[in-house]
Amino acid sequence: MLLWTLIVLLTAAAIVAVLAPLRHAPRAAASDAHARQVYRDQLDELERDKAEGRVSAADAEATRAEIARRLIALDSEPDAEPQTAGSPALRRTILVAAVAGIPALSFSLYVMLGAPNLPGAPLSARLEAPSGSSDIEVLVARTEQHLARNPEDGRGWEVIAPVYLRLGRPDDSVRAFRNAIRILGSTAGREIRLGEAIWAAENGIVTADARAAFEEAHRLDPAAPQPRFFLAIAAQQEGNTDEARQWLNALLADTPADASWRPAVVAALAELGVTDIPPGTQPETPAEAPRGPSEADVAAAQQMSSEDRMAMIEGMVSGLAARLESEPDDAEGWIRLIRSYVVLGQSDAAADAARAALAGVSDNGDRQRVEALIADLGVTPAAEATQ
Amino acid sequence: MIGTFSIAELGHYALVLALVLMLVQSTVPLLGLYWRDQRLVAVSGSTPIAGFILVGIAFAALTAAYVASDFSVRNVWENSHSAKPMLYKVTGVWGNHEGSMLLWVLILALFGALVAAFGANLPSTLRARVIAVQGWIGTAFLLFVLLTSNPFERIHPPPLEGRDLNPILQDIGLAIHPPLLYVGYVGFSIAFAFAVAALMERRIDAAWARWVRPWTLAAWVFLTGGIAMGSYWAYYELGWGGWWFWDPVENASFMPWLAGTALLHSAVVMEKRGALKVWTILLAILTFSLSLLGTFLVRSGVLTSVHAFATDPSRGVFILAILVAFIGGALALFAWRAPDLKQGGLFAPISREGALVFNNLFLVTATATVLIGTLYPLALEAVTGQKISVGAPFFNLTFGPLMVPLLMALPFGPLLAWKRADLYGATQRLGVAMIAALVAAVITYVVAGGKGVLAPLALGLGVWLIAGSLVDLAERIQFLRAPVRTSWARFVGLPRSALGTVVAHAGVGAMVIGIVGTSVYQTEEIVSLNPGESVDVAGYTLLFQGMSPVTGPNYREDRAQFLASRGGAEPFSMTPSKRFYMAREMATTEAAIETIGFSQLYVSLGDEIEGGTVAVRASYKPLVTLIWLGALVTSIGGALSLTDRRLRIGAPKPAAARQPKAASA
Repeated sequence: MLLWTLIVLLTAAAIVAVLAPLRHAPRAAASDAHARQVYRDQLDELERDKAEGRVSAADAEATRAEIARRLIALDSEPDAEPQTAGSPALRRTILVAAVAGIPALSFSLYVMLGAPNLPGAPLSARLEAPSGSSDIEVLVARTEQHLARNPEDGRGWEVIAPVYLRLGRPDDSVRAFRNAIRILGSTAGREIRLGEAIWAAENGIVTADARAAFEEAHRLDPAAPQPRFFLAIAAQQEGNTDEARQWLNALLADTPADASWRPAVVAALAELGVTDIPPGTQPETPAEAPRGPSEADVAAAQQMSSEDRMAMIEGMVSGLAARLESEPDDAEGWIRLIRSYVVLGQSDAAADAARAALAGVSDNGDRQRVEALIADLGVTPAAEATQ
Repeated sequence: MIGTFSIAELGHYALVLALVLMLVQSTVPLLGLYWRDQRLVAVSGSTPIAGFILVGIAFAALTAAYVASDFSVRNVWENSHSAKPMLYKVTGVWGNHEGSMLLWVLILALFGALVAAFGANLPSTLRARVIAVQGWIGTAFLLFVLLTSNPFERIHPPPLEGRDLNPILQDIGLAIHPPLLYVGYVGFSIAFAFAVAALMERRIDAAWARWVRPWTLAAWVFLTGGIAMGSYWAYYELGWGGWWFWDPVENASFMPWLAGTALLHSAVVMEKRGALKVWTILLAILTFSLSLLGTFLVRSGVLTSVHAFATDPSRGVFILAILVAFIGGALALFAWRAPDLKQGGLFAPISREGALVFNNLFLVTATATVLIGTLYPLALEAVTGQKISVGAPFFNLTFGPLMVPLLMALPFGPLLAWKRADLYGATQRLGVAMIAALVAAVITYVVAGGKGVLAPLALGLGVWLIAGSLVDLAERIQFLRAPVRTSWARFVGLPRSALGTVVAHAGVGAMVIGIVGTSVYQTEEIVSLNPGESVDVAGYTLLFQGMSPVTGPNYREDRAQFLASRGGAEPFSMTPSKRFYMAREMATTEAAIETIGFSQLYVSLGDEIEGGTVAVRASYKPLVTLIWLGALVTSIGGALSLTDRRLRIGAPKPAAARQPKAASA
């Protein structure tokens, strides 16, 4: 309300500024009076120069003649634009146009461009009154302030890095992981998490940086499954399908039958055309293996500009959403969809998906996993989510 | 109160309203002239002032959002940080694209308001047209700000912490350099508006030159100061002690300066003799066109790379459209109307006018040289994709030789009479200055140990300029030729514009001395030092005592401690450092500078700092401060000239009233 009051006052003042000169006709002055003044000044100056001996008498006379000619030229020129007091009818038109036109134009432009309903948010006010929903943000901000003062606190960086990832700020997460490694030293676990953060920041592409992190992790802990898996993906993305197959086959050989990542390995192998998985290690429900982008999709993604890549990712996400609409009983699918929305920064869509997931997933255990994820990501299911 | 509504929204509205008033300002006075209605013409007196107040409110609102760290404003979030010192919260307002364009518009509106408020000495028709043209420029740039570079965009929900300002910009230089530079850039818009208005009036006479002079001079004074400040800032902040890089962004500000300097001089001829009218009008248009070009080059992102342009085509295309419309429109009007202009007084080649034409030829050629050196690589990259760098060698080979004859001829100019002059007489009177210059060159040659002839001569050129200016002053006050009392009386009564000329030209001489001194006679050592080791440069011994960490408000600093002394004299400490700004994860170099006379000892740390060993660049830069002091003196000369009584603002009144004052002085 106060904002609009001030806006109306400003507008009124602007209208007054435009209209004020219309009330009285200004004092009329001959249009060449100003030029005449300049030439008179020049004559004075000439006199001074002459008195000080800076110009000879002859030159001064010539110059005087020149200035005089300028003065005469002023007289001979017709007064180009005689002005009148103006007609009252015209003035009324201008008055109406100003009173109506100025606010109409400025209000409509402002409504198009501005955000009058957004409250101001000075930092001091926000730190004093943390609301429930921004708790995690306040915590992050405090941690950031702490780290700004103590940038060598490696533990701090390590704590905040995964939080960034969950808040959909993978770039910050990468930076934090790098700081943690720089200060606390490199371990396989840290390199793996760094690699995964880069992978997330690069929209699911194993870039050279990510690859370097996974290679380091693999060197530090050759048995760890994640580096081997991602190095396989990297090889696949680069078109080295043989190398990818070698990585995955080796990994599969070391993978216990009940390992949680086994389906992902099998699915990745399937994409490479390897279907003759050794018997006995065959996963129970291969159909539930994560449906990721195909090799062709990934290869295409590497050729794309960032906008195109974004469009492809959004296309994949909407495809997943469409599939889940028809087959809602798929906890894995929902988890991936919710994560994607959070990473893409579409919190409303994430909230809707959370509601649909809780309604659609029938198995109790699966539901709990979805709930855990929702709590983890800080997604609030949309309104009708209570049941 | 804060928190319930956003002050930024009020600023946003004020800016929109300012746009509407600019539209009024652009049209109503012209309609008034067309319909011959005095009252409508008079609207040009009040709207620019109201418009300036509105843009001022917008600017204040953005500043308030920065001070309060209101990150719901996108621009604040992108360029500020709650831990940033207050000074940089304020200067950060224009330390980014959107905010700097708002400052641009603010200064444009300020100049419009100044013409409206203090333009009483102008004919009302000319003033109304000038203000209308100013309104067109204002409208174009307000549209640009609102539609492509809006500093009042909001974010919801607001992030808790901002991204901080580029640390290189976190310096007192940001408080001074851009505002000065922009006052200069934008001030030339008034000269442009005067030129276009005069072409519209079809009436251009000697009086016009006097009316436009104070505005051009004011803009030039600020631009000179702004460029010098920018140069000193780059010198101490970028860490390798260069004072001019021929970087395209620098050239973008230098070209309007060169053209503006030419304009100042040609306007003198037009004012005194009514000659060079067409040329002066063209220069007024070109000077502001170069300001616009500079704005375009810097603001569209063309300069960082041709491809950066494509990342935000709307901005680049928008400014390009403004550029084409204003430059093209003004030049078309010029082509149409200029042939009607009557030529003014005649003059012989050897005359004050001739000297000023000489000045203009060289300055405009130099401008063209810089323009080519700046645009050619861009054009080449755009057409062939090939990246070349036109650096200092090109400019040293082209710009340098152009300056030498100009500077050699400079002291003659003020000594030549109007119309036709006595070159032999002027040469005689300058004899003292020539002797001084030669003596300085010989002394330099001997002191430098007999190496090279060109450098001592170049240094002598600087002395020639200073001594030549003093000769001009001595001639004017008849120093030693009249009794001291008479000379003093003449000095006191000297027109400020004449004094300004002497001071400004002497400043150029000081600059030349500084440039030659530091370019040719600098000594530099680049070494790695462990604590306890020392380096010798130009007779100074710098003892490295070690590194110590320091924590600033939003950065960490590794500070090196040096103890410096010359031949066992009282030692002083020097502390160059490397700063690391946390929020942006960027490092900056802070050089340590000790000024000794006009010279400086400059110590900065190299990139590698490992295990207690530091890479150190230590240099002794003889007379380096004269570069900026000279520019400052030149700028002061312009300011002195601005206070000349002829330029004082006043409505027409009987000339007789002024005579007694001059006599009593």
